[in-house]
Amino acid sequence: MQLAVQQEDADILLKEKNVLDESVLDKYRVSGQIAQTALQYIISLINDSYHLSKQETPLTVQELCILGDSFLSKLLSRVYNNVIREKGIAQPTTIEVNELIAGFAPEIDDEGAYTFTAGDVVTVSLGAQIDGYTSTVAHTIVIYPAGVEINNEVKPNGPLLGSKADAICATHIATETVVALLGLALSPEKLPAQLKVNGSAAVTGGQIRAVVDSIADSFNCVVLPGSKVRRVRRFLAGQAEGIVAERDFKGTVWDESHQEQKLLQKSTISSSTDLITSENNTSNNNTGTSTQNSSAIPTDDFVILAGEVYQVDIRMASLGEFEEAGLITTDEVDHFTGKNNKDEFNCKSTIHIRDFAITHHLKLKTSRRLLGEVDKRFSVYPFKLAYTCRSFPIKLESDNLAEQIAQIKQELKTNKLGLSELANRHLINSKPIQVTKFIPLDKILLTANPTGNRGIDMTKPVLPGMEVPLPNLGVSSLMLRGLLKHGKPVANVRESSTVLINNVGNEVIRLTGGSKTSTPSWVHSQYKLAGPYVEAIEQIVQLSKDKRFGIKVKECQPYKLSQTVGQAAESMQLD
Amino acid sequence: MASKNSINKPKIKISAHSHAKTLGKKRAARARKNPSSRSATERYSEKAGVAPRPTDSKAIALYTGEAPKPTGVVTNTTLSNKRAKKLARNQKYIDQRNSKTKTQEDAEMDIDEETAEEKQTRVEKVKAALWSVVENQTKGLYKVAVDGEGTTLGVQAF
Amino acid sequence: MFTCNTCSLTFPTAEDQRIHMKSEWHRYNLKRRVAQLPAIDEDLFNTKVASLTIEDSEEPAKKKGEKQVTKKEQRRREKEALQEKKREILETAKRTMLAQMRENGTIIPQYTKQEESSVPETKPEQETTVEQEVVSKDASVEQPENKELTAEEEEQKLIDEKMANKIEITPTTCLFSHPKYNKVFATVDENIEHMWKNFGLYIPEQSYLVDKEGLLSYLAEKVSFGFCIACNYQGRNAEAAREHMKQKRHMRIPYETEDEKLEISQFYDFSSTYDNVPATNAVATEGNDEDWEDVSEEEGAEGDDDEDDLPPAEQDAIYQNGHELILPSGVVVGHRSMARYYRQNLAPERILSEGQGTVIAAETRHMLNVKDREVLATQKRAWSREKKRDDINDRRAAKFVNNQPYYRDQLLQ
Repeated sequence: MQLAVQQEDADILLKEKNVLDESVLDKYRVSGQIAQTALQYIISLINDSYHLSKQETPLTVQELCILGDSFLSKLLSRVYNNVIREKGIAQPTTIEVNELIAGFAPEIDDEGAYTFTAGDVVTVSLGAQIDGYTSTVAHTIVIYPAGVEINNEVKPNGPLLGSKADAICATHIATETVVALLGLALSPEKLPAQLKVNGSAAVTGGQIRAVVDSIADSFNCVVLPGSKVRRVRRFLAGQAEGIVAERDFKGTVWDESHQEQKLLQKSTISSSTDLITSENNTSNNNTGTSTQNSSAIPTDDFVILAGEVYQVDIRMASLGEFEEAGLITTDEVDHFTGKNNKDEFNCKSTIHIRDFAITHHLKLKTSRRLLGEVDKRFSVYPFKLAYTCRSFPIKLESDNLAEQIAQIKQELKTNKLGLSELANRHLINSKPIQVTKFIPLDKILLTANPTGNRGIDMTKPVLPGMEVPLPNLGVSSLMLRGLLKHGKPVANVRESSTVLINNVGNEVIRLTGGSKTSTPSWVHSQYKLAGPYVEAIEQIVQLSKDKRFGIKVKECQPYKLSQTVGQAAESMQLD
Repeated sequence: MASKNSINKPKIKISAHSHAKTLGKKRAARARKNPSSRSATERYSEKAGVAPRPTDSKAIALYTGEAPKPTGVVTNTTLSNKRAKKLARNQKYIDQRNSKTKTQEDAEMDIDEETAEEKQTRVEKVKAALWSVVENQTKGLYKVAVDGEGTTLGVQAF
Repeated sequence: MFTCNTCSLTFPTAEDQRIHMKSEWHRYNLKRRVAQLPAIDEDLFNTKVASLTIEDSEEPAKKKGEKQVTKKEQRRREKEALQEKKREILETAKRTMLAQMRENGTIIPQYTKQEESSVPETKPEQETTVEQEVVSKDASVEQPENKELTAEEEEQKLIDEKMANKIEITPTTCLFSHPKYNKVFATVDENIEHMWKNFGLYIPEQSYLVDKEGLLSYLAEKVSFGFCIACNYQGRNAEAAREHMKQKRHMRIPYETEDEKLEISQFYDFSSTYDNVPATNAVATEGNDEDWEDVSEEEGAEGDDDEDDLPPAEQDAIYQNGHELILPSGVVVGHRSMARYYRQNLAPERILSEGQGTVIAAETRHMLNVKDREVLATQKRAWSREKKRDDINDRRAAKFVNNQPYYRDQLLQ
């Protein structure tokens, strides 16, 4: 069914509403603060539960997720009441451990015992939106073993070592650099000379890619597919990536093809660089300087302008464990047990998002009701089934948390039936749970693919134009999926923050992340920053710290967590 | 294909062909038996066994070999060298003309797409390059420089 | 020769035969033959006839003209005989009364005999009752019977009859129940309540009703005269009317047509519904609300007429567009030529929230438009048909495709 919006309305919605004026700025700030507060809350919960051992049984991932979501809802319910129509959770709280990379937010009625062990890298990711102005944040922390008591405080015994530490270092440095680079977009004359292309001072997507790649290389890491530095707009914050092909996509996206290119560049054969296909070149090089690119296919040739909001989402994984050459790609985790006679990690995907292009007359009354509620409350943002229950959000101050959770579990049972019909009719898509896997290069090279090199894996949400993961080798995504049986899981690290480049106030606001909430855990990596952009990076970081001559990067401060909320962790004696 | 149980045998076509062949054989036999005059011949017949029109060029007929066999012993159809050379030259020009237009058409079309063969060769090159990478990796050529100090991030706190 | 086989006679001429055939004797002989009796001679016949006529001499008329005098005629004669008797009685009564009058010296009223004309129409059984009535109730002097009565006089007679039959029904008496139940109430409201509950008598426009008692008394009067309040049945008395209403369930006050409303309008007061309309138009505007049908019906063509009927106030003018009327209330009345469009039931437009609108505006996937969808649909149908044909062919082939005439099973199974 053709669902279209009038041209004038479309212009208003896409252009006017994204102009940064005072009210819009305020909404962004508030959403940033809420996201920061929630992140802080969850990290404190994890700390209390795992590090400070305030409880007998540590919190499971399901409990953490529902507590985080309830906290987010509570904060959101306090602000902007009766003024705006749409506000809510932009990204449900997901907690990914080690090799899980996206989409892992088990429902409260999931019986699995998802807890952390010492040495895990845990990524907490969430987001809030107010009137469509979104702030998302993701931060990776390390789970330490039991700490030592120093000066009446429990502290970790030693820093994390190994490949995970490399990844954390690389990710942190890369994120900080990119945020600083984005800040430099306001005053591009301060760019280090190395980054100025042909004398013109502008921050382009290609530069970002180059810098991040160099950082990753120096730490023996790989930028994972799914990392991106992209512009977000009102209601278009990348929440429906594989479902909706967003027009005017402006951002740098990393893919398996970039890993392939890197490997090709590494090869000693002289003609290797010529082998990179022309199609790849035109889409990914940074020779073009066009800033007007009205296409859904992401390219590198864009310039970061002031007055835009960017989401910096860097994911990295270390290659230190693997001696052989290979690629890291994402595999999907589903809830079908016993595949290939293997005892694998299985979980149902719980994050769903509405696809508006589809309408269907539903048979079940529960599904109709559910659809109406989804359309009204969540509209374009992903949601979990728990959000549709009336007992959600759970009141964190009260004592009967277990009761409330039991109520939610009861209501979930009825809603699941409605959801199944909606999913069958493709009205609702579910976000898959993905893990990162390392595939050795020789396995890829040994696969035969005489035909069927156009097979596309439809369950993998990719941006348009990036359906073929290894175009030079001619390996389709379906083929790559078949190769995943040779894959080995690899832990990944993710940092994501939203940065607002304000042209009016001439400032850069880091809406989420930053020193208050996203401080890196205590790690030590054996590598050091090296590569062609070292000086440039150092200069950039210096500039961001320099208050007078450098760029001002303001950070959104989280609200103060009240004592009672902190006690919620203690009172979570559910069993 | 033509076995008795073949379900997609074009039975009708086959029978039509064989019928046409027998008809043709009969027609040829008829023609051989009763050679006809030029006016009575059919449009696409060779006209070899038929007398040429007075306006037809005897030289071309001789050159191409289509001239009817002389019934008597004496003949006065000749082909001078000059004539023969002229015919050959003209034929060459005609051929050139025909072939030239074909290549011109080819040149006008934009051949951007790489053919399958080219693609295959490129992929093979890529694979070769990557194999070299694999080997080099096992040899340890791509080791990232480890620093003595390393990088420490964060503080000793949870 | 001309013969008569029944009477065993012969005649010389045909004429004689014919004459004989017509005679009584021959007829009698025919009857005898039918009764399987032997035929008799003429003489015997004549003697028989003579003997019979002697017997019937006392009552010649009856025997002969038995067929002429029918039962109907008989009854009529009886009636007339009765009438004669009555007349005689009346005469005597008159004479006695006259004598009395003369004694008293009063004026002799001159009444024409209207009662008499109704007598022949009624059945003999009722004549006695009428007679009694005439004697007991009618105090007037009966004139000599005059059957030439005018229509007016007949009407008057009927009215008088009805007046005579009238039973008193008060507004507090139930209009429909039989008097034997004695449904008399204390108040008019109770009566109304009773009739509403038991018979379903609904008083229209109760909120504008001013004179309940008056309305009920009017209805009661109608019933007491024998009229049905719902239809134009006219009974002889209240009991007849009640019986009719009970049977036909005519326990309603008609309020549909203008006349019906006017009939009982004297008990209502609709002045509160008039809006600034002068009193002269009050009656006309009373029932206007029900006449207008405002949603997309075919009133458009009559726009001109309606404007003439309206009061002259301009603010209440109806605006006429070529194909629609815009009424003072703002309602738009459409012309019947556009009825097709007014009757459409389109699916309501999807109201998108801002978020949905933004995402949809930003989307570059475009769903197939209608034309492409049709093309795709035909293409799919062609594919499915082809697939079906292939399947059929496969199924047919499966019978003999694997035929191996020289197959030798090594295992001999």
